[in-house]
Amino acid sequence: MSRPEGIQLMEGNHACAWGAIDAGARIFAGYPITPSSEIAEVCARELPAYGGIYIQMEDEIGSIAAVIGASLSGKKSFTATSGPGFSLMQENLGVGIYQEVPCVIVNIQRVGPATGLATKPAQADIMQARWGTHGDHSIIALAPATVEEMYYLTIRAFNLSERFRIPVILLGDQVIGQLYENIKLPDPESLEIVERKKPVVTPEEFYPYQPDENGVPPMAAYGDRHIVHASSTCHDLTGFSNFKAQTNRALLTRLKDKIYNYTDEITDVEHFGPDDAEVTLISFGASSRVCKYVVGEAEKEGIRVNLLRLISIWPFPDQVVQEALGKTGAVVVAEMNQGQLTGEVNRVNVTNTPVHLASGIDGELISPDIIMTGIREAVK
Amino acid sequence: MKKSWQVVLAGEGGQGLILAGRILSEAAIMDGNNVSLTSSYGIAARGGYSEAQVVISEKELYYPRCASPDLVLALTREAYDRYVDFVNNNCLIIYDSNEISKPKGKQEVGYDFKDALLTLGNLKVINSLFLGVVLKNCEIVSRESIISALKKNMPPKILDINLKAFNYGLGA
Repeated sequence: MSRPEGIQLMEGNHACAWGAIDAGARIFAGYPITPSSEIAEVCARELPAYGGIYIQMEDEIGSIAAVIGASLSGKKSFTATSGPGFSLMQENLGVGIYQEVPCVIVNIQRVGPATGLATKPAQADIMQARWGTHGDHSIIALAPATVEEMYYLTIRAFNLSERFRIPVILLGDQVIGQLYENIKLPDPESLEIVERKKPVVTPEEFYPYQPDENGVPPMAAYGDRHIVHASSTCHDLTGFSNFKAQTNRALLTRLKDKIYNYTDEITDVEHFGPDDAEVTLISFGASSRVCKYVVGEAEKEGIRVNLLRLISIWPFPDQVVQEALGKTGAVVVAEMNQGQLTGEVNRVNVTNTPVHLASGIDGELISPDIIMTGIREAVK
Repeated sequence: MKKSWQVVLAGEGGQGLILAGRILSEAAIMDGNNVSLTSSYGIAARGGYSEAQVVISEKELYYPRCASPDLVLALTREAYDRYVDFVNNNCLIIYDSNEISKPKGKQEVGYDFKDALLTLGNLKVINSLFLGVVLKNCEIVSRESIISALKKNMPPKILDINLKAFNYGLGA
């Protein structure tokens, strides 16, 4: 099978794999797990034809280690997993963040904790994506809601990871990962693809962690004339360990600022429905599709509802959510967990707008009824 | 032809429900529609409840599941029981008459799949057979598109028997 042409029925996971290939990813290292395995399947089949490599590792710890190593060697690399595998990746995810390694981790969420419901959907790794690895850190996470977005957000995930030198999480869910929809892949030539910034100074003048004006250091690859030194302990501009207080403070501050000073650039949301509404739904991923359907259902009951869909989840779009809270009578957060995003919405709720949770934890796509119940409660 | 469709193909693992959902979906795309296909299955490769849901529309699809099915194919008792009280009165249920002896009297059509498969001499073609039966009862997609989709999805050595099963179900 080669790259699908024309309008196709395509699975979300396949679209993700093609997005990665079109973004320039040439290394996939992973350990197949439902409901993400089709990403590994497509990579195993297709990457060699692009001069790439598929590596099936012994587990997810090895998988992300291989991804980090491949990226430090100059290749765009990624992995795909689900809850249990994402848990195993957390330690090395921190290493990737600390060493500023561009890479993409696809997490097609399923019901947990532990083995949970292996084939059933959830959106309960929101906080794990943010804080699963220890220590102060930043992260970028994107949440696709369609098969088409599985393709385009995978590309955006690579672009952001290269631009900011950070692992990016594509936070899908079983519904979208294994959903089939019609899609037409674009001409790869028409895509905007970001490549990491290479050193512009001589090898003698080069420090591997000397940031540019955006706080992001240009990056050499293993084997280049410029030195690469990656350490998982606190390091200075040279990349060598340095335990001074000011080095630690400067590094942690820069790693935060290089993302949070660019929240506006990273933030991606969709406003759906009427501008003014009695109730605003806030949602993401598969749940947000149900919300769009519910906007129409609520209108039939005479309730004006709109939707703020978060396409980027982390860094949390504080300002956009604050504005939405200030413009509406009440908010219903629809999510397939017990309120992880709701907590974030409440954190920025300076207007004390009533916030309700519509929680879908049945191991199924959240039902329109659950969201409608939340809306009815909100307008009581 | 109706503008939009919500179709549930339900039974057990191994009956080719999800492949049939793909074939139906691809045919709908060939007819110029938007499609979403979702599936639900357990961790076993054979047996256990399994279903495919296909939503077909000319418009953009938001809710990818069947909120209000127009057609339910129920190949097992469990599949029938799941849907018989859920669907509204306009929904057609096509059930396997070997599995369900006392239908509840909504819009229902019984079909003896076992007998048809024995006549065809191949138990594995059940999905092509039921696609024919579905299409005979509801003009969801064009016959030409389904045949093209069957040709695209079936390996050459089993294509003929599957086309035969499809036509048998269609009564053609």
